Amino acid sequence: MSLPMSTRRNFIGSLGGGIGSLALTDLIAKEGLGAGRHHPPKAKRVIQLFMAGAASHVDLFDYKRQLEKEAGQQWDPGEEVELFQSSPGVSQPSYWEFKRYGQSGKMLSEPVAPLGKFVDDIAFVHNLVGQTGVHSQGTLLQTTGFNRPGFPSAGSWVSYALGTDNENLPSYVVLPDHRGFASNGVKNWSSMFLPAENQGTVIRPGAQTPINDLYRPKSISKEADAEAVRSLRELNEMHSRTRQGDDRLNARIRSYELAAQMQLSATEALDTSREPQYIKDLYGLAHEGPGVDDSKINRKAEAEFFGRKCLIARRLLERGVRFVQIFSGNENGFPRRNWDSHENVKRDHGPLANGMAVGTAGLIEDLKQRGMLDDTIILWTTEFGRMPCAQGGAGRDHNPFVFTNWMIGGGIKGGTYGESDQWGFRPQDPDNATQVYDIHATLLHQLGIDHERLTVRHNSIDRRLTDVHGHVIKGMVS
Amino acid sequence: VAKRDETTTALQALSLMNNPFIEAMSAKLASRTSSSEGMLRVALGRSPSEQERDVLNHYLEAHGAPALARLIFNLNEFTYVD
Repeated sequence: MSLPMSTRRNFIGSLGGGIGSLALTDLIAKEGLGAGRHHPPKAKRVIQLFMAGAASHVDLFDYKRQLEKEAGQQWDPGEEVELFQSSPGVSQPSYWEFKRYGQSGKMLSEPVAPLGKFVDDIAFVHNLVGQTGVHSQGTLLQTTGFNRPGFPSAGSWVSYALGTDNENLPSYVVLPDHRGFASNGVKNWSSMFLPAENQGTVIRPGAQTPINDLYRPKSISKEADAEAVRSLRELNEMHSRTRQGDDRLNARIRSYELAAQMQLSATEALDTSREPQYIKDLYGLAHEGPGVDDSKINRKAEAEFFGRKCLIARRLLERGVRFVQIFSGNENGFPRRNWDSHENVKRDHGPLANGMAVGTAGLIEDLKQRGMLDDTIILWTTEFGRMPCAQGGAGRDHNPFVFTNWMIGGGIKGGTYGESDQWGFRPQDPDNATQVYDIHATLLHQLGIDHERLTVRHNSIDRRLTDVHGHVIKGMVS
Repeated sequence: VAKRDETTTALQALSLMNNPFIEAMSAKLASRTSSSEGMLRVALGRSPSEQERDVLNHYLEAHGAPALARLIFNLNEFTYVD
């Protein structure tokens, strides 16, 4: 019996164009993409560090003397303040001592002291404002530029614009906290209306299967697997010859080859066993590895968890991955393993912050030694800040009014760009606050991309990462 | 104009080849019918062509019925409805 030829699809396809290309025309097609750049880039790759739960700027990066002066008194900013789940308590200074670092004398608190070594090259922005004090929306705003679902993540935009440097690895990798995803989970790394190959690929270093379904089932032999890919190609090519014009078919044939290559390349990239001990120490890895004791939250374990992700990130970037997104902290759950320190800042922020700082300092040092810091941007962000007043005895509630981001590498110039007010409650100058759009515009700029020109037509709107906002932060870029 | 497919990724291929669900379903199909003719009829609603029969039978002989079923589930023709 011969293959059916007179299907509806073939008939419509024969009218011109083919179903495949019809499906594709309403999607993309922008000049320069693939080449991707609008001007010479300074950076080629990005690491985004996301602190899930809302990191407290006043306890880490934004020193507020006023809080020490007012310590213990009812916090009174001179206006009625509505908070997420509490009423404003007493003025609460940082739970840790701040010290000066570098030539700039930038103040950092004790848990993040490991970053002091690089403080002169870090661009701090203390006047970020968001649009909400709700985790789900706040997280999405930082990761996708919109506080509602449906929009591609920054990593997807970068992957889309620049393509991959290594055919055998995904261009965008996500390293989630092994204890759970941040609020809104996969939406933080989805490609949405961009081509699906730009979505983040989740990798779990330390897990038995670091990428879902990476390895063949136990019931299939190595030879059966390899021959399956070959036979599939043969059969699929026969099939595609009778269906000319459907681009999807060839793309799918290719995806099986990529999958097979990825099994080898991903396994190799994740193998840290041959890294020298001094490198493992640099990143704060524990001798016990990922199985280190975490029954009570502690600095050693958090350094192992975060540091290992940083080391894996470096290996992935070396191998051509464009965008690595590292998450610290999960979404709720008990016991708390995230930055949402409503109950106890000292207990929860301390180990997470120190683990983050140890791992990140190791990463910066390592990239520097390899000559990669100049063309790699590291962006530290979180969904919003925490209040300068206490919540209960030992916690802080959400501060949606101002928070901190920082960046280093990729031609970014160190310094402080934007201050918060005397408490760390609101921006010092509310009319000139920084928004995520400006951070993203600056990031794209360093990658050689004009954020206003990287657009995709979707539902009759020319969509972009920065919506209709954003400007490159002057002074931060050379 | 660069054309890229909108939904196909290597991750999809990994899922369809390696997910435990596919392993279970392959075993089921193989227990229903162990010939390549039988499997294609169930999965695609048609008999194989001469050329296809060669490829399928060669694979069946070398690797067994469940492995063949897994292969058939990964065919473009199984994935895309005409």
